[in-house]
Amino acid sequence: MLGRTLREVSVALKQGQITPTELCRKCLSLIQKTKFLNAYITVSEEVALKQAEESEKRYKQGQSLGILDGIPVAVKDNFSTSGIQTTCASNMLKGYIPPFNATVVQKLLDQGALLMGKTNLDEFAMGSGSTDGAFGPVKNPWSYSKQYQEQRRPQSNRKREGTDWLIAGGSSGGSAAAVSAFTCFAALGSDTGGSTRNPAAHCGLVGFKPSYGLVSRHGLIPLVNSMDVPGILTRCVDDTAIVLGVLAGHDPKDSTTVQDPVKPFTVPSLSDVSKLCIGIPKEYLVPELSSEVRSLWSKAADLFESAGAKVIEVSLPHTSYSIVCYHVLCTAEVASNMARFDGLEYGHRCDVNMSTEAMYAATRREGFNDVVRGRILSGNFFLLKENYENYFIKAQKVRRLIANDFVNVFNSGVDILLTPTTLSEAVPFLEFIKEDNRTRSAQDDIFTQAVNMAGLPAVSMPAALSTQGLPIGLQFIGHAFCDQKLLTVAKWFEKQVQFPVLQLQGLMDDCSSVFENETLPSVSVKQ
Amino acid sequence: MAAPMLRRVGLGRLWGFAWVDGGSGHRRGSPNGSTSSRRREQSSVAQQPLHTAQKPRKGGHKWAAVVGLEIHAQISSNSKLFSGSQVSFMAPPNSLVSFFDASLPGTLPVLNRRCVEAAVMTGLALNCHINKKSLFDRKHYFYSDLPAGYQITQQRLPIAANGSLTYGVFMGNKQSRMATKTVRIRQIQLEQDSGKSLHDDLRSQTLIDLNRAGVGLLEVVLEPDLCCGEEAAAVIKELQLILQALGTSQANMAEGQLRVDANISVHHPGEPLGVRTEVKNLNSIRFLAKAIDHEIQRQINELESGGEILNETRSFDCKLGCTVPMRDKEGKQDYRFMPEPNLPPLVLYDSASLPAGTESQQVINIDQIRDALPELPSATRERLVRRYGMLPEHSFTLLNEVGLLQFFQNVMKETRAEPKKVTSWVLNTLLGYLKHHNLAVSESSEKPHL
Repeated sequence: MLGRTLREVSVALKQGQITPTELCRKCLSLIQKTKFLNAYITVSEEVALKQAEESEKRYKQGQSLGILDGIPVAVKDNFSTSGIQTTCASNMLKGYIPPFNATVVQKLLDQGALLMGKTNLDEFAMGSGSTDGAFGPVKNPWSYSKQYQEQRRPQSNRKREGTDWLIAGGSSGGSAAAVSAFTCFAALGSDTGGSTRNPAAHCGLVGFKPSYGLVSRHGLIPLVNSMDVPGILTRCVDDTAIVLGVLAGHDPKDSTTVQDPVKPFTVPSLSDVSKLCIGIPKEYLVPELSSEVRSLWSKAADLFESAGAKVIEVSLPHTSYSIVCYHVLCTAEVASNMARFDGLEYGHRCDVNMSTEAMYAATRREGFNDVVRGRILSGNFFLLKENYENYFIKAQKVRRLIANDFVNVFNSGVDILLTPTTLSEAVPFLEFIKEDNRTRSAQDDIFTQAVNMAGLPAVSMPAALSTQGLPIGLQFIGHAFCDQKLLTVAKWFEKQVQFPVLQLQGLMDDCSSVFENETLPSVSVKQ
Repeated sequence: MAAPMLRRVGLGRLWGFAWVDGGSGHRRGSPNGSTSSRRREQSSVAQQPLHTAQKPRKGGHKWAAVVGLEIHAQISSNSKLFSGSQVSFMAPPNSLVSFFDASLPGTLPVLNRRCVEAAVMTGLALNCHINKKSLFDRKHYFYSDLPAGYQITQQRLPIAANGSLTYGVFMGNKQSRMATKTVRIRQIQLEQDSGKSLHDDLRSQTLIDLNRAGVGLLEVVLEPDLCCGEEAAAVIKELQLILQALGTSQANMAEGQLRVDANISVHHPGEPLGVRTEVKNLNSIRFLAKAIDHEIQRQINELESGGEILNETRSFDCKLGCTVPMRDKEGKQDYRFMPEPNLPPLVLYDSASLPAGTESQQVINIDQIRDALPELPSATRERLVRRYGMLPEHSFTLLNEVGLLQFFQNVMKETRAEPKKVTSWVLNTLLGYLKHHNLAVSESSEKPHL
């Protein structure tokens, strides 16, 4: 049951094959058993069970709220949840209990979804591995998959047992691990530079970044206000569309959401792609790209071409400037957004009492990790009067050029861009931490962050397993506010590749009881 | 016409030329080589009445004072500038604080329409150009009454600019003649008010009340066209009357709804401007005038005895009757201005530019607001002079005293006596009586019925 699609489970709930409470308990049990993944910071067991109870009542009365009624979901711990600790994986907000729900959380709850818990992340969403949070790193469930264990390259120097697990990607690694390990059917992530798409690629999931302005950011603790969006992680495109249909739309509390009305939609099944034009940006073919990803990218292009689509090479000439531009703008906004954390109204407050300044300084030193503090320092540097013109304003101009690159390409007849999501498959944690956060972010964001600067919709689709048995994802980028079209193409691709299901069975003996009496679930893409 | 050079000095504020005898911008700090070159520059816009320079003092050498005012007026609105919490004076501490006001992470600003209308009304009343597009910015500094660590203001492109305020000053020995003068308005911008901090020195702690945090303010920046406390007082009084007539601010200084900071410097006419000091903490018009005049004299005394003026912030000690330096904790502040990313540009329309089919609740039409402006004090005074044949000075007095105009008009309705007689009685007999007994019009037992 836990491996089914959202739609399938919803039908099962409606038909009484399983009750919301049973479903909830199964997920809670699995969360417990997969605790070692460290995907969750807070498991909201009581809340979820209560919600399940209410959902059950509704189903009994034949008054379910919709497809999401009774469906377990998880939410990244940088979304405010009323009455439930929201930490952003930082000491600064340990124990902080918001008095309100983020709009997207409220929308899910209004549809009857069950909130299983708050998932782990890089501190304040800064990072690409979910390794730099105050609650420890997230482990990629695929580290324990049958596929990886069987196909991985033998270790040259045998490391201690249990230390060679893989990163889940970041910064929404917890959400990705939660969905990937079947503990919930959908999870909210956030995406500022690729933070939803990156872990989706590493965990074999659909990681969707909506157009900026489509989904409300109210209640999402901001990293970069002008680039953040709530992201959606699921195991299939249909599920993403269901969640997006609930979340999208104008929010009066968020002045950056567009006011045009949004209707929930089902993603049509595309049978004919001959009218489609796929663009392959040549600047994305970088030397650091692993040969496996490059070959998969090429295969995907061929797949579209042989199905009749037009596949052409395009140019996004300012690509090489995007990382630097992103870092200037990101750190500047971070410096500004983090200014509110002073220990006065909420969050961590140090014991220093000598003066306000001393209290602020100690609180912020104790509350933030090095990554956050580093970005604050950089950001403040760029915002200094003498630097503002040369750095911030300049970066804004470059940002405009980068956004225009996309506009030009899309205006020339290209419908969708196809690119890699990450440079390679997930790497072992010990390998990943050899470089610092800033270096890793700069490397890993390379395919994803220009999209945030341009505010476009994008989705990472699981494409195939690597020779080591690990997921590799490919990214599709669409026109602004053409999210439905993007998902339509993604769904066609999903059907073509038939990405395999994560096989955890047999390696976690305790878990077998969760899957017992069921045939191994396969992700069905029929309607 | 050469555009005046706008230089950003000190605490992030804009300063321009002062229009006195070819001077060229306030100087900050000790003299340096560049002042001599500025001396030769022509001030090419000078069509305004000459200031009366300060009377010669002991030294016999003429001094001229330059005064620039920055006014913060609390907008009279039901809720705050960017959040829905209520605006109310004297509520229990921290009882009017929304999640946004407390800077809870994840909260976002939502612009209050009434505040924008208030800004447009005020801009129009002050003959400003209303910018059809204006922008919001963050001004960063750390202080315990600023929960977010930044204030949302309009630094790059304010909502209104380049206006003027005409005011009356009593002239002559007997202060019986009125002359009208004009002060230029540089700009009007919308910004957030901060919370209030109360220092409890006994327990070495600071108490923070966030009721005021986020209340909408209109910052009105005047060009440094004024020369003394009396002019400043007259300007502020007129501004108060205008704001009250518009209903955009109650402008009560005692309740903190109108706050004035004065920037003051002195120099010899013909020479470059002097170093300016900023005087804050002025909570009545009377103190404002006193503080400015005192500070002018202090600077003159200091310079005449060979000292120098520091570019500092001073506060007015009303008990001592003088300005004293404030503890300048800030030093040289860099506010690291950055655009406010959560607020799109504010776009206003007029009847010509209004797109077809837009709902009226969604947009602000400047022309509509202009048409609905109430009668301004200057128009009221003109009307009184025309209708009742009184002297301009009398019309000023009638408006300056709270409730007096209403009283006068009520009397005129009831009586058949000649207007001149009534005017005289109201202004001399009644007002004299009230002043003698320290009463406001509303407190007097006199009724308009004769």
